[in-house]
Amino acid sequence: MADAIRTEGLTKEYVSASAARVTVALKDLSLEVQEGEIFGFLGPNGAGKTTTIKILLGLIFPTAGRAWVLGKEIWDTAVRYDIAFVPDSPYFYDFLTAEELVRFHGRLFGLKDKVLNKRIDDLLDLVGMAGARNRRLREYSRGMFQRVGIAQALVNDPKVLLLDEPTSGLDPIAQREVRDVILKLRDQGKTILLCSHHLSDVERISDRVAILNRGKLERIGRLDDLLAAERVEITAEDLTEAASGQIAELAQESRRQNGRIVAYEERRDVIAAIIDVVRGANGRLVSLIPQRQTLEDLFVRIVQQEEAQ
Amino acid sequence: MRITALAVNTFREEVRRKVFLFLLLFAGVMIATSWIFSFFTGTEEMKIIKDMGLTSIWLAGTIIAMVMGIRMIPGEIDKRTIYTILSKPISRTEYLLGKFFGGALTLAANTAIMAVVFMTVVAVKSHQVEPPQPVDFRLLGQVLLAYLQFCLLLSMTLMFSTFLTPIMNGAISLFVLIVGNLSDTLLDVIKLSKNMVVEAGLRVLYYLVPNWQNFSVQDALVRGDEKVALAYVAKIALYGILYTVILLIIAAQSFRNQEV
Ligand SMILES: Nc1ncnc2c1ncn2[C@@H]1O[C@H](COP(=O)(O)OP(=O)(O)OP(=O)(O)O)[C@@H](O)[C@H]1O
Ligand SMILES: [Mg+2]
Repeated sequence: MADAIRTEGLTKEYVSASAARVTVALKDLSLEVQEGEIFGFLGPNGAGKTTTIKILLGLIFPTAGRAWVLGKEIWDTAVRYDIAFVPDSPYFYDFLTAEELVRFHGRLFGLKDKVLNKRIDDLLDLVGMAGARNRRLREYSRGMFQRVGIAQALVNDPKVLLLDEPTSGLDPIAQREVRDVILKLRDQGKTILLCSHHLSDVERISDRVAILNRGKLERIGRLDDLLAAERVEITAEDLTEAASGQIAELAQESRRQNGRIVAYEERRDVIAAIIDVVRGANGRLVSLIPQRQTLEDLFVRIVQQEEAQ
Repeated sequence: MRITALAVNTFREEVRRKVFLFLLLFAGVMIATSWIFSFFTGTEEMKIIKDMGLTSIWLAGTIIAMVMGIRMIPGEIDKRTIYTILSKPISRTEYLLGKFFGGALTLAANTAIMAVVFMTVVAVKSHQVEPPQPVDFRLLGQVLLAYLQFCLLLSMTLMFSTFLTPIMNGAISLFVLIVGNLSDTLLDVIKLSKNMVVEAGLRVLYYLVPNWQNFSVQDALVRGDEKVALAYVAKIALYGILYTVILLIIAAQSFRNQEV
């Protein structure tokens, strides 16, 4: 399958006005998003997600590195005929009505009114805004803004969607609706880059994810592979105090429970070492259970590990 | 096509923002003055109406042009509405031109309404005064030149707004406006100047800054001077348009490299 999005060594440094401070927002980011997949693009606040999207859209320029969307390098304005962008906050002209906004954005793609009329009806229906189509955006609630934002983004029937927190500010029902819309778009063969802090949502719908922290790519891969990591829950009993302490030292995480010790570890050599300690202390190995973690577990662990260093 | 969509949208934004209220205020002032000064002799009265009218149009248009040009792009960057526009297949140059033409359209509508009010008052008064006077339609030539001056000012403030803060932009634009209105005086100062460096500096200033005085045939018109020629108006119109185009090219170059 071809790459819908590809970046190579993308780096972005922001220099403050007085040139006194340099913020490295993105460090040498290389990744590929495949055509037709939902790609979860994750990271804590300030990780560089929005920065990456802005580079892909040509709003800001990378300090180093290159990027392609659908095979065209991003400085080519024509790339954006096939891209949709939903911003993380409602950055739209609030003096327009929903209908006017979608029409205006359609015209920026050079679409004719005949095509537009039908598409506006369909899109406003899709996001459940048909009833408010003639009201000015100024009067909208946050969630209504967000919905119109999704409608305007789809006006050009894009192939690649860059969604920057599309469900922020939405109520639970609307969140689910947006999730369904995203899945429907994927089924139509569209590629979706999804930034979101709603990790359970991302876990439910993504094919692959990348986790970014402080501008650095920490993990990338198929969701199944990442979550089926080699983390194992080790439970042992009848141990000496010294042995228990040793295990607690070794393992990434451990707790004592009813005279047993329960340890979590993913590094193979350490798992072997823990078992050796149990054996050496003549303890009893109760169970050894591979754990499928949640995306949230993985995310928190990666970010905390990074903080600890 | 896309530039048109941007221009129309910009126009709509300015209209809904109610800059047009400026006009109503202006029209009110215009009409009021024509009654206030009715104790002068007929010729005097007409002079005052024309002078006040043309000056009011110039002032209103100048303020609207400057405020629009200074705020247009930085305002969009601040509110981040520019993100969703520039993420469409719109080049920076198209965006800039769309903004400019939207502003020019707004100015055209403003100026046209003011001109209609102005010419109506002039026409009505021309018949009322003793002795009645013919309506001088050459006044519209001055209105046209004033309009081109507004567009020039718009392109200048737009150009500055791509690399200056709004406050700096306002200060420098005002400076350019004042220096440009003193162009002839500046030339005299240059002739008198003894210091080479000062002279060179002033010369650069003289050639860089548009000569706003060129755009004014008002005094001649109000005096009833017959010498105001169409050829002159055409020449200055061309000067204004050329200047505007150059400023827009510089603006587009500068905006291309700006991060938003
Ligand atoms: N215009 C700017 N000038 C200076 N620094 C900036 C600018 N924009 C972003 N940054 C910095 O770049 C880093 C990455 O920001 P970015 O907006 O990409 O984060 P993010 O991953 O989208 O975070 P969030 O989840 O909060 O949206 C942050 O440290 C931020 O402070
Ligand atoms: Mg962000």
